[in-house]
Amino acid sequence: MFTFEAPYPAIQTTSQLPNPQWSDQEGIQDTVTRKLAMDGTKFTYVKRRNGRRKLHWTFRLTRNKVLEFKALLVSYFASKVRVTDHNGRVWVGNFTSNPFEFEGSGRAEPAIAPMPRGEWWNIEIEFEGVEQ
Amino acid sequence: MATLYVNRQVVNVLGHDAGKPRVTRQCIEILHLPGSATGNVYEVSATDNWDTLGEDLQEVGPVTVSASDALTFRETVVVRGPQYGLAEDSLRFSESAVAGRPWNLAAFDYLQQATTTYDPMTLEPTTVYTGLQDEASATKPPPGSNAPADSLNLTESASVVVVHATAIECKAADEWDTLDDSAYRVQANDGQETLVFTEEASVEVIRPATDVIEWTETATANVVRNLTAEDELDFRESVGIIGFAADVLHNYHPFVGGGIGGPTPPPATCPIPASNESLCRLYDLNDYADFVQLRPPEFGNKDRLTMNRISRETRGGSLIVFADAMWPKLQTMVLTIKGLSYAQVQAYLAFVENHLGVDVGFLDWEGFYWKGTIMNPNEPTVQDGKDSYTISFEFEYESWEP
Repeated sequence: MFTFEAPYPAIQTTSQLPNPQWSDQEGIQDTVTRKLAMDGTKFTYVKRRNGRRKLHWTFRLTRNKVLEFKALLVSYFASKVRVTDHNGRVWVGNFTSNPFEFEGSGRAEPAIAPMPRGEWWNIEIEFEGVEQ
Repeated sequence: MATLYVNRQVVNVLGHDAGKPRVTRQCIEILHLPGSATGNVYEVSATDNWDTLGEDLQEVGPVTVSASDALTFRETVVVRGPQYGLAEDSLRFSESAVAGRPWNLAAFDYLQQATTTYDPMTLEPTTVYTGLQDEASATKPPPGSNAPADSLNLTESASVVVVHATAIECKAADEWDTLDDSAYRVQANDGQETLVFTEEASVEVIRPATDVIEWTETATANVVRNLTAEDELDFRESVGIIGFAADVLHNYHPFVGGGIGGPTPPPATCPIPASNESLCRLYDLNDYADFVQLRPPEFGNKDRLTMNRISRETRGGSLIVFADAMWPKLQTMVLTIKGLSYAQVQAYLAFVENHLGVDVGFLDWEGFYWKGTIMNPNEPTVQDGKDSYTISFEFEYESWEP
């Protein structure tokens, strides 16, 4: 189970989402630049991101949950968010997706009121944060 | 019968003459008293009967009564200072007139050479003067014409003002030691120069007053300020409850707590569709009768949420994200609708052509109303099969209540 809490640290809203689909990603943001001198000496320049990592999740949600998560993004798309991922790790960072794109993917019964149809939607989220 | 002489003198003093009064008029009236005298007369009684005197009293007019009173005021002044002011002025003039009399002298200078020549006929010497002759002449002015005339009029007045006894002693002195007035006359013309001096020295009662007012003011103020300070410290305590029910993960169920100062939280309840129609409809916002009825879109439809925000990375590598609340937020639907008839496609094309760039209404397949613009009117329609057409469009929208 995923938990999004925003805005951090004065948390006001909490949304819970089911675990993401497979193929979630986690990567460091540090970069290395190599410079080679004429005598063959190698110099490397490292740029660290203060421990920040980029995470990529794909959620499969009901239409109702999509509306909730969409409302959460509209409110806190520029705020710091605390995320507790499916592994229990806590991250504090920002959403970096732009635009956020929800895709209606298929039918999913039963329909949950007040939505007239049962559907499942996919959304991919990019998130950059520092693990707490 | 005795005769008593009563002398009555009226002495009018008309003036002092060696200290003796001069009698100017004398009247002797003889009063005859009838009676006899026996023995010594010790007492003489006299009765004055004016009638006897034969004096007639005649009323000549109203009695005039006059009274005079001389009221003399005397003022005694205790002298503690100078009784009188003293003004002294010595004005001394010395005038001399010098007559610059030009004595015009005449000078004759003969620069000649006398040569004696002899007349050859008579042999008499003849003096012949050769050379230059110079003559200077001057005219002496007639005697008396160059007498200098100079009139120097001086007027000096000194006034004394009685100084009050209690006044401050003051004294004014003015002395003109020497005034020289020289008149020079260098020409024989008649000239007259009048030099008038007027000097006045006066003593006035002057009472110099010197007053020094020193103010010393001390103000002591006790300021009592009724200031109030108010600070509302909002402490909020929240208890997070993580529910494990399936509804929490599938339903619209955000946990919205209290708090101020942050962004507007999402609504706590799920939006409810305004219509229960299952078909989509594009319609004119001003004319609801102008619409196009469409099937619901295929799966794979997208709902894009585009936000304007600024992402910057600090030198230390931290990510800073900022967005102003008033910056625009764009929402776009990307829809693909299949299975349309030819008539529907043509109606759709006509509708899009008639509403290029303007807001149109859109009722989606869930029953929500939106208002927006079709952003890609040039997207072609595709015929997939016999009487089966597919359209695709992007609709940039915002919420709207019809």
